[in-house]
Amino acid sequence: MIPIQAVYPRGGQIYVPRVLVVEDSTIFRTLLKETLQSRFPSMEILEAADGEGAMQQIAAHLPDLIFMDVKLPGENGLDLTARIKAEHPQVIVVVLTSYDTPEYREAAVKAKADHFLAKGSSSREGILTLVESVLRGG
Amino acid sequence: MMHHVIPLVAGDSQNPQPSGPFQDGAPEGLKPGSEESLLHLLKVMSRDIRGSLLSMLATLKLLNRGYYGNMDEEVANQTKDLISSATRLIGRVDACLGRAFVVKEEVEIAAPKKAGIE
Repeated sequence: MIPIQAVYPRGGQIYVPRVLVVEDSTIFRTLLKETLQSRFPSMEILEAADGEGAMQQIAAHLPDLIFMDVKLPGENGLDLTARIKAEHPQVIVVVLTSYDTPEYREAAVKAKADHFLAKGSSSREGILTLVESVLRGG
Repeated sequence: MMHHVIPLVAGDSQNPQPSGPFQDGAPEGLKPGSEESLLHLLKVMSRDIRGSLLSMLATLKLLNRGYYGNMDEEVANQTKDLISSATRLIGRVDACLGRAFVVKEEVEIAAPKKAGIE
């Protein structure tokens, strides 16, 4: 059996999951990257600090999963999510925000985000369980 | 008899200028000094504080996980204590933010928005 920490079978092939973290704060990017790498050592983790960087990364290496901060310099994360989902509906987008409010949740749903995580309220295990579930196709 | 029109739409020249410590904080479309305006300020303040606390917590977690290198046991314990404190503070701010939203809903029910009040 293939360990979940390493690779995921999809379409009869073995592949390494690719995740893009779109976050302007270096600290949060690093923390999320460290959290993901602790459970998924072989996961390919891409980073972008703004919308332009995110779109460049997506064009070059289409990820399976995107962690998207709401507050970004330039285009905000929700508009960016809507744009990404329109172009790549198969990519799973997890909206990350410091503000877990009804308005933000509603806006995330409107932008067609797949999941919503509040920074500071989401546990490390919660995030990892969500990623496992998403990568297994759940 | 003199009538005072207090528009709820921002940018109207008749809108009286706010005074006091929140004069720059009146949100668009809300009467300065009104309950809605003050609740909005409470939410903004809570969000700003939460953001700073989250940054602090993220740094502490990275330190705790040894991302920046190993620490002596005493320092590691201090870091753990600080993580607990920051987590508790974030909980307090969440409660504050949550209450501001609940009160706002009550205010909206009691006083539905109108284009103007004469």
